[in-house]
Amino acid sequence: VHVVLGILMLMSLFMLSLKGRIPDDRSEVIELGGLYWHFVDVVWIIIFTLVYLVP
Amino acid sequence: MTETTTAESAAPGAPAHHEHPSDWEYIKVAIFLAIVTAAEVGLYYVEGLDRHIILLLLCAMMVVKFAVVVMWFMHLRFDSKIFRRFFVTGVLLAFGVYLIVLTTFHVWSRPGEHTPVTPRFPTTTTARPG
Repeated sequence: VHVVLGILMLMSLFMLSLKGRIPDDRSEVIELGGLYWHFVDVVWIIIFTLVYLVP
Repeated sequence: MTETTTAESAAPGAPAHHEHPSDWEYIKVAIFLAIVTAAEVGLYYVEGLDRHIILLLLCAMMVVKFAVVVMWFMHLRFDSKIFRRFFVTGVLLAFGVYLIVLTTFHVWSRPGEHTPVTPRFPTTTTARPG
């Protein structure tokens, strides 16, 4: 669910930035989306090791 | 001249101003993470190595990857120290809770070593004659 939500957020941000709907003074929206995505990323770093790799 | 300026150099009370590293630095970090991940997966296929050594190496690489992602991609390296403190506090709390849960489920004892606790009171009641 977190990954799907992150993908939706990234796609939305990408489309909005393509249309020029994210001005400079709202650039923190991109930063927040990136922070959420990398939060999912660090959780997966742990899950990948502990669940899939540890013998 | 350095590429980044930290928030600590800003005047007190001023909003934290920081510049992010160049695109090339992010690419270098991504390549490093890919190499470490490849090493992790490669370690999975190594045979004849002690299980504890594999576990130790995997955990070490996991911690390195975690730290690199948090410091660069989540900008903690370039942000104000207060964010770093919040994050480290949260991580330590989560780690403590995780250890407590593992201990509750007797993960540290060997198979068969754990003896279940007998209840203080009988759970089933038997009907007395008479």
